[in-house]
Amino acid sequence: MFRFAVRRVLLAVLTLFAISVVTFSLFFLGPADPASTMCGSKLCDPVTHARIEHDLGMDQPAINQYASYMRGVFVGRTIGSGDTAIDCPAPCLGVSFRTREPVTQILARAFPVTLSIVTGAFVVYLIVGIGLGMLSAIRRGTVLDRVSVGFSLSFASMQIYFLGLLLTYFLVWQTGLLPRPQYVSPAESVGRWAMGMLLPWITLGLINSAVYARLARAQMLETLSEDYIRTARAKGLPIRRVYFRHAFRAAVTPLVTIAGLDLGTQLGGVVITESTFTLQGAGRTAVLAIFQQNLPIIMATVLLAAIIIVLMNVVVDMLYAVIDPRVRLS
Amino acid sequence: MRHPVRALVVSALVVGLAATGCDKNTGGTGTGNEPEKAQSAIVVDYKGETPTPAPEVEGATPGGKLTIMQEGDFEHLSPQQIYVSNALAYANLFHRQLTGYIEDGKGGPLKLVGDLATNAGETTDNGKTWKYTLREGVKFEDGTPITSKDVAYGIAVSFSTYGVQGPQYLQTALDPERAYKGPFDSKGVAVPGVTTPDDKTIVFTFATPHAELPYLVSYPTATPISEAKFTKEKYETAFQSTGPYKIKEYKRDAYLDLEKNPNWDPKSDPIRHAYVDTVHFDFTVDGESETNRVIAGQGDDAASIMTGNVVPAKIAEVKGNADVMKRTISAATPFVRYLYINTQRVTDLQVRQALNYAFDRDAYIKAVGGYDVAEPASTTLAPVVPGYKKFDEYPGANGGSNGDVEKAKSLLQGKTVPKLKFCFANTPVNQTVMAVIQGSLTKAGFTFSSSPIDPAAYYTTVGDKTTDCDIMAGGWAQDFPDGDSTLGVLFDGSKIVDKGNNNLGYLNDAAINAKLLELRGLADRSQAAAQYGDLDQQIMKAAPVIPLRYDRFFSIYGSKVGGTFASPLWAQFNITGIYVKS
Repeated sequence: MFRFAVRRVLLAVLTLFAISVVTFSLFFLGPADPASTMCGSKLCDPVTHARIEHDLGMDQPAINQYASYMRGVFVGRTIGSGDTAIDCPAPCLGVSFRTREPVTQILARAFPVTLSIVTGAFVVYLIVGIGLGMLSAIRRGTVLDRVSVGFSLSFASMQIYFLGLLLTYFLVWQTGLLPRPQYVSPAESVGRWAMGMLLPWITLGLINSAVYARLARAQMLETLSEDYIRTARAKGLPIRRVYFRHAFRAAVTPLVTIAGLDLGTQLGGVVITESTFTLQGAGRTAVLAIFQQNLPIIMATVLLAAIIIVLMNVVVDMLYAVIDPRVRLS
Repeated sequence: MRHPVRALVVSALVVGLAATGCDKNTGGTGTGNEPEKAQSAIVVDYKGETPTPAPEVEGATPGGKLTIMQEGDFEHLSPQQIYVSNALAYANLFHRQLTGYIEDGKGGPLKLVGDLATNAGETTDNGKTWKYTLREGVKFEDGTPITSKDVAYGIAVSFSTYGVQGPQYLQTALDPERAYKGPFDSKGVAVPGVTTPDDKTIVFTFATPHAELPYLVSYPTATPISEAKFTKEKYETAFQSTGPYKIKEYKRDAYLDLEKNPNWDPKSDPIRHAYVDTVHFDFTVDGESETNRVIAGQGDDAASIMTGNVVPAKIAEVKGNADVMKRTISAATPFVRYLYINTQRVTDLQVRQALNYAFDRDAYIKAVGGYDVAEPASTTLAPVVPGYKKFDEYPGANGGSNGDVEKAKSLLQGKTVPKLKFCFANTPVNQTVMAVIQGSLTKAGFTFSSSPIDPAAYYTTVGDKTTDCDIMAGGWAQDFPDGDSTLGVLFDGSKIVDKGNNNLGYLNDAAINAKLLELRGLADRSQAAAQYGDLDQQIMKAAPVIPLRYDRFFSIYGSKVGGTFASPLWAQFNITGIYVKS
């Protein structure tokens, strides 16, 4: 198990390094000209343009820029020189081209919003989706099964911006049943945090739970048709024990992989959900940064998403090994 | 100035084109601009005759909380970095400059007056030297009196890293070579051309006349900064206020709460009032939710204003609701869109005129969202520019707005017009809209090769004098309310350089250049204003552009809001006399 873990972590580090090089090259060496977009004059005069490029460190050779960036991530760095230099402590992801604010500060504001949306929705879609899928499989052919399949088909075919706007229109603006979505730090008020997040949770939760319900149903049906389940039932084990002890554990294993990867992807930024509900999470921050050609923020959000996805992959691999001993052996 | 950069608005994916048809504002305060009224004059108060405090707003009541909804945080509030229209409008709440504007919601002339200074500026040598004297009682929020040295320090900061994103007009006028780098990189060096003989007086000296200086020092470039209190980047969120409100709490990307500044003296201010107790900026909205919230007006939202336009998907709903329409303002803005015709390449005047005749304005306006958010343009000056003159050199057939294809064809008779290279910034909106434009011009026999250009590289590409684009999409908004801030930038052939041109029609007409120079030299800008309308018409006769549209402000305020109207300068609500109805 230890060697397995070390192997996975090393692979993750290599992957992250490759991603950082590719991302840096794409964004910093591409055709983007952030100095022009930042320039106060409508068309930048060459002196001011050169000045901004110098301030941003973009007049340095690419390799130096990358080395400096990576040094900042691990040990921090000073950006600029003289009296206008900014001290950027580790993990330094650069400073915003627009505001000269350290990107880590910007992400520290945005990430809790994404985390709140995703974790809440994750709980909703796991409980509702897997629960409904399991029940549907156990009660195959009944009304419950048909309702569950109908639910899956309906919500799986919906888009977040459609369902989100629809729910907001009816539940917030027409009936006033729910408060408008907004992020309040749970440290400030857990109640207001939960109420503010309710609509995104319901929307993202319902759409994803539809997919999980279908997957869970299919997995459970497959497992229930296995010989060992028939054997367990023939042995006279209580039906509840057969379902939950034997069938559920086997059926849930592939779902863990998908859920883990989904969680990782979503933590990198749920752009559409954040935009639908106007929540300033990591995804929306990245989109705004793209509009502004604010490369350090784009770079940081891409790296953050990559780190989370790679980490979730490692976690999923480990979890998989825990749930299914055959993985460890291979 | 620039439009704010907005984040992706998902609702834009589901909007439809709005219904069309003109409407008229019947603002609840009775002070809203009507679409047909244009800002046609400017009064510059060189003599310091504007009274202080500002005259009371009729019906105003003190107290209450005003909510201002804005999609996303301000890019900058550190004064020397401010250049985006919404920040320029709302910085009036906490930043003061040497001069400032008094806007008239009833259509009267715009006034440029002394703000921190006693007048709009004194010059005795036709604009080469300007003197400003600070008013009595002007203070920072901590009670420290504002001195001319603080103003000079603010201007010095504008030359540094902490001013590089703001307007650069004043800096370039003072130091054309831009050798001075601000108080950090050019330590111990005085700001070129700025002297402070005493604590109340600041003098600007230029090598050449700068009649426009009173406008330039109305920008936050000329906001005073106390050297001891300047905290560099941190100043963005913790600045020293000089206006009626100061920061109570600022949570980046979430909200900004302002409270009254006890050290602001209304007797020192001819422009602003401070009727409301607190101002709350909510940055967690988008166009859709702003509109929904102001329409619904629940709780604090009844005393709120929007900073964006009503989203197209909601226009029909708004127009169908008589109650909401009472608090809707529709007004002209400084933003104008054009198709520049490269006169270096399309040298035949009749071809350029034919392009103007063939353009179907009605189809275009419908394609960009309807007459509520845009108005067909026929001039290069926006209707809010002082001196604007309404004319149409290329009217549609039978007085309509669908162009005059027959007239265009007759102008083209006997000519062979090659395929025209049509360049535009490659955005989703442009992809649709430019096809509509080309469709209408094609009817007259023109043919095009489309050249969508990466938006980031667009102005660099078309601003290169050697560009092979024949037609280029673009837009403009005056940086200060003076005809020279449009015509002098876009059509002065003497300013054409190899790269970085704003004159994208590359018009270089000796008579026009001479007239621009003559008007620019007039020290009294109120008098100069009146002549820019005629010059605009002279330019349009040369057809270096096809004017496409004037953007319109179409926005709603809450039922409890009074004393506001559309600002002709910033395309936002005017907040200098705003109050919450009790």
